[in-house]
Amino acid sequence: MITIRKIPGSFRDPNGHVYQGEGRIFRTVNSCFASDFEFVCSVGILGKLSSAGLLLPVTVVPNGTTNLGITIEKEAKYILETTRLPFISYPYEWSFSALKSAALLHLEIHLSALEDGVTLSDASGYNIQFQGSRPVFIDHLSFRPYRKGEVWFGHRQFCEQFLNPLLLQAYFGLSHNAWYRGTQEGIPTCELNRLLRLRHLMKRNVWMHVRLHSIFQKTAQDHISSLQTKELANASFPLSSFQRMLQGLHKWISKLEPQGVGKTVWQDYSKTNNYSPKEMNLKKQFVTDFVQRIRPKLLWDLGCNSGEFSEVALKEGASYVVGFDSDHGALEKAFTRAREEDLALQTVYLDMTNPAPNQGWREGERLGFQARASANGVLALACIHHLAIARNIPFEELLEWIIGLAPNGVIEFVPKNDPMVQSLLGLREDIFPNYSEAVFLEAISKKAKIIRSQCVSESGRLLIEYTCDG
Amino acid sequence: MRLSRMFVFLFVFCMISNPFSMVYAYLDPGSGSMLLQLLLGGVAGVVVVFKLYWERLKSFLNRRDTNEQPPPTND
Repeated sequence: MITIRKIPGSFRDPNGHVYQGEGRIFRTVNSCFASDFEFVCSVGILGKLSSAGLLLPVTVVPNGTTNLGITIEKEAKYILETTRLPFISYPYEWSFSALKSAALLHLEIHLSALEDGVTLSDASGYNIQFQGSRPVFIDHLSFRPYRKGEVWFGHRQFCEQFLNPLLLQAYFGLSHNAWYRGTQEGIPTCELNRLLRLRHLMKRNVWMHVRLHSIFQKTAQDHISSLQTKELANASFPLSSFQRMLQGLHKWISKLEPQGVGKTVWQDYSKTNNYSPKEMNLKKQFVTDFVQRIRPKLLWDLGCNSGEFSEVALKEGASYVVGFDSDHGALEKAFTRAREEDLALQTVYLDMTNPAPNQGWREGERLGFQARASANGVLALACIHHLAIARNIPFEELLEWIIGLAPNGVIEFVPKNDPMVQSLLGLREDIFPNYSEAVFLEAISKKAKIIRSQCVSESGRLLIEYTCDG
Repeated sequence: MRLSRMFVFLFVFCMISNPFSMVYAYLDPGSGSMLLQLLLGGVAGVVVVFKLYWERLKSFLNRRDTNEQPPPTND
């Protein structure tokens, strides 16, 4: 007997819901959608996409309710089991490149499905997750039979959840994360339209997917009659036009590049920091010893920067690393590193002083980052001074928070005389009497056991390894 | 051909609409996208979209005619 519960965010689709229990993920297919699902299975699109690594594999549990000893929904006709991902992330936590790769995946899957007479019922960004730097489609119930002449119902959603956030960064140099997190549903086309200038309108795709789209949306809302709505619903959109539209978007999006992240503070940190090669090696060795001791299944790298230490951790025995950073340039670098080296490194935008909370419907639709997974280990390298000094987070509270994230970890203390801290204090009064090595060690000792410590730089940077186990 | 068709509609649109006012009315969040796709989809769709804007143009002109009539007097 398995105890399962419905995932709070799974409520919009009447065709089925997602459940989790004992580390397993199940999805129901309700009777109202059973024949469509059977058709989709019969054409083999799900298997084809899964084999190519584009779709999360799924298996139908034979006589699911009986065999699993669970009662799900009366209307459930099938129970599917799918793979559990190490860490769920949301589009408002993705870097530009991550969102771009997700958008391209969505279009590729849709084009592939259309060839088999299947279409996607929506274009939600939340239907895509990441395995390392590789996007993967997770919503098996989005696939349904294509009806001849139908329009692309997900177009508006695709624009809001993929295209517009990408355009915001590519054309205006503005990151989408805060805006997206606020709306949950992406960047509204009518709002992006207001930002457009003449130079943007030189591009046919901008006219079509933003300006005209927005104009038509307004017209439809304001002036369309119910009679005209029926006429619209009956009008036909040829398959060839549908495919051209998807292909056009794919071609356009694949050429978009982020603007403004090339000059971010941390992008070149790994080149410009004041570590000597010897000091860097000491730090890497410390991380290596830590990872080899605990062999974390899930490791969190706070302030991961370009992912250098995440890569060390993965090579030395960590199974999966989630690298968090609030700098878009650094995240881009880490994402590129993960993609080029094919690392199990997932990069996530996170401002540690303002982490993603529980939000959405009944504050349970999208979870705060701590509620989504339990890490076995945490790395907090060269980040606590930014929080304690640049952001005025109480020092002891900060250390308590980091230790609360994982039972084992490595934390780096950067002393006040270090050039990096000096630059933070350069233009402000030093109001941080508690920021000292003694307070650092004492605060950690209150919550965990310090296994070892090592000074890794001439300025006195100190690494400690803690454990809460035993 | 496709581009010129689009610009004819843009011209008509610009004559009769103000795209910058915020509207909170709700019909269907995807209907603007549907109109766009019909326009891209071929002649039949273009006719539907054209009729929609033609109705708007006519009502705009009628409204203007009404406004230009002199106010009624008590005589």
